[in-house]
Amino acid sequence: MVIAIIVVAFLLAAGLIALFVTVQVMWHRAYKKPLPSGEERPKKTFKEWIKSHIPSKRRLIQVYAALLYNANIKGFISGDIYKSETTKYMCVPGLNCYSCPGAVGACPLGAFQNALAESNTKAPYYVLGIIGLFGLTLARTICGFLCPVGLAQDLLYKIRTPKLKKSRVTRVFSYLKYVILAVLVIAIPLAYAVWSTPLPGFCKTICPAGTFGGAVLMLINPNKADQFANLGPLFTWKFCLMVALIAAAIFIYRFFCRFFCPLGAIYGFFNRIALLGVKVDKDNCIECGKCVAVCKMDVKRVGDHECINCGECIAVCPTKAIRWKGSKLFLRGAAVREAALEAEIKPINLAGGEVRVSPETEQTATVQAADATVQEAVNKSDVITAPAGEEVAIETQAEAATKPRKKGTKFWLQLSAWIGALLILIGALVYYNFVDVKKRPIGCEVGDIAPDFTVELYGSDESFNLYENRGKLTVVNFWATWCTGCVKELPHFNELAVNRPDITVLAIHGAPASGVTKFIENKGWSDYKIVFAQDNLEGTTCLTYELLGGTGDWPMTMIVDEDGVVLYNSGMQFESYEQLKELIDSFN
Amino acid sequence: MTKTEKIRRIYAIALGVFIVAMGIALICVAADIYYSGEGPGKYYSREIVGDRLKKLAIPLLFLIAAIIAGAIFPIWEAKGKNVWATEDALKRLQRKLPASGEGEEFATAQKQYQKMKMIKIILWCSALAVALIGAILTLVYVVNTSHFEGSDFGKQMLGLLKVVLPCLIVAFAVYITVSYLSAYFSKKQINCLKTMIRFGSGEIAEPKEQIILNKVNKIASHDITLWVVRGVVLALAVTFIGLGIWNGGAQDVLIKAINICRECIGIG
Repeated sequence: MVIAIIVVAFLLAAGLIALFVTVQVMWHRAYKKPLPSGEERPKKTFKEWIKSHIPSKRRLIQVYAALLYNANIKGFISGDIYKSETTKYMCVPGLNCYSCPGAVGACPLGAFQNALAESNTKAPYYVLGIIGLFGLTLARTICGFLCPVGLAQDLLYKIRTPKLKKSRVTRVFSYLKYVILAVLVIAIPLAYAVWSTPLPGFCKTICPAGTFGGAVLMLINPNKADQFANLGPLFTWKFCLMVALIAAAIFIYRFFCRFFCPLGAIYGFFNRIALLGVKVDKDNCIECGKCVAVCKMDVKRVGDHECINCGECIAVCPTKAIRWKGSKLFLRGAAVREAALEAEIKPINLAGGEVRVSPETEQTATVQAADATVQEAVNKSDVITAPAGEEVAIETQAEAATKPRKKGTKFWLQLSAWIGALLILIGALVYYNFVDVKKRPIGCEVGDIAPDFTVELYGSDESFNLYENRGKLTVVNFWATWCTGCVKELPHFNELAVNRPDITVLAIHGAPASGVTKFIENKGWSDYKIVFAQDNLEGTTCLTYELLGGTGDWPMTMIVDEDGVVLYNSGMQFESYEQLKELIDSFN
Repeated sequence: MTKTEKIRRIYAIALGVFIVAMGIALICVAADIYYSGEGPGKYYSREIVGDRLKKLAIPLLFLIAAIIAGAIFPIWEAKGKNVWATEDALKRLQRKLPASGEGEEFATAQKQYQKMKMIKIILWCSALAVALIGAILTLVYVVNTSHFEGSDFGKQMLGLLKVVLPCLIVAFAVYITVSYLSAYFSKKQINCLKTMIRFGSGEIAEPKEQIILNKVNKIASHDITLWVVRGVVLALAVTFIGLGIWNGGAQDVLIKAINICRECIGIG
């Protein structure tokens, strides 16, 4: 079987290479034919082809960020998420689901929704502070440089299909993400918090990062085959939505970012005050609109709430009016270059109007005149005729300015920054995969004798010991107040406890231990027949949960017979009492 | 169009159609898997899912091969266009508006200009009103938290969708219509302004609202204002982080991040 797979993979790879080379040869042969006008085509060397295909700095930063956020590579092999307390209390700036096996940080959007869901007990200060800090420092530069979902969409957009242009319609639809922010991210968790039901609305219903990073990557791992039993209408909806978003991102630039992403919507509010991003120098701007034309996002102005600060407009601005914020402080090279150009170009006075001249690489000049009737012409062409009939064509020093400069301080600073960043990435990969390695819980399989444990009960000073409870069928359900599925299925366990007084039903709460009593009261569970208990905690580690094989998926249910033998130990969520009853009856 | 460009275009369109077809096929298979697993005695398993997806394996491989082969073509990018060129031109010409003018042409143009301006204001106010009504209806529904009682999440979301979706569709339709109408009336305003500039005399008179807007913009864009706002936001952010660590918010983020709530990621 393995040999067959290797042979097929080899044949496929060989076929792809052959196809690629054939098409390349055909392309270059076609390219060598002269142009219809009879002119020879400019020579295109392989070196130039490589140069046009190497990733830009922005792409490298995006890949770097995606790797750093998901440095726990071993998680992709084991199927388990990173559970250490080192870095997971920190939110990463971009959209990266915590449930991705490789994720080493929390998602700010998921954390925000969960914090709102618990806002009836605790104000969401921490997450608000984190989001505020990210917004102030970077705002939507995160979208342009540091978001893995943005990177995925950028790469999908490179697939050679026809593309849909932006228009007024897409600008209006870009406001959909604010509706999603208001309804699914803010209103739904708050509304459900009234009923003490933890529900992150966006994560649960829409987020493709969770569907792919969490669900799909978990399901394709052989260690998580039992999770298929938990699939249902919700997963089907999210999977179909994910497929639609991926397909749409191929035809429409950053489809998810522009129309759906509430995190981008939040960061958009900070774009104007952010410390990093693109900025237009209004004194030099001639309002030609080239920046807005070249931008693939739905901006009205460079730097507005739709701008992802990718910097692609900087290259097209004819007057070099667009620059990075702080560039005068950190990028002195650019300022020096501009000063040199100004000295070499002489302004020309046209019919008494104020004129400014800027260089163009085509050795002509863009002229701005104060005369309104000339202004429109400026927008349509780069060279205009002055009202007096003089043609303006100034040879600039643009060629000299664009010549490569000698390696200076800027080059060594950039090189040092890249080396430093690379060392951090390597350090992270080594740490998360070789140093911070937590042993998988041994657990107990069906047929084993369940290990003994003692847990404290809620509502009394007593404790529950498994061995002392032998002689009765015992159902142990692990739950948590923040777990939607756990909260949903507990009433079914209570129904079991009511209908089958011969069974002990024990609900052990995980972390945190605070607020559980109030939660039980708010839900009206105080008169439940279930025995509520609190797991023993070591920091955030639930000791009994891990002792019985828990690997981080909630809820989890274990059934032990009268002699202490494990009959069932699974993460399957019970959708109805009948499902649970069917399972119990099968053991009788 | 050269032969090469024709090949590129055919390839791009064919690939686009292939991608859409594969997407639809994948969605259909997902629905098939769902319906085959629902109901008493049925269950989802790795084998059932794998079995259904096998049918798409070969077309998917072809698609990947086609995508890789297309790497030699340049990216088919939509030509950039400044969608707001009309509005930008209008703003530039408004700055050149003369205080007065002579002749009937100037008076007629001025009257037309004011009329178009009023129509645009009415249109945008109407659009805003429609959006506000939609927002209020949604808010009223959400505030009534009895709609979210119980555990039937699907039913509750459908109920919310029944309220939000029509409001959203109407609001977007109105905004799109108003946006295009506004562009149409802006073009008419540009013609009026050109006439007024041609026949106008005297100094340039900026409209009152433009003067106020410029003052507000100047204050808002001033470096001092910017740094004051940044300082306030930074102070708030740092304070909130501190408060959050103190009240256990950071611990809650950690606990949530090291445990998977399956329903929260859509496994359900």
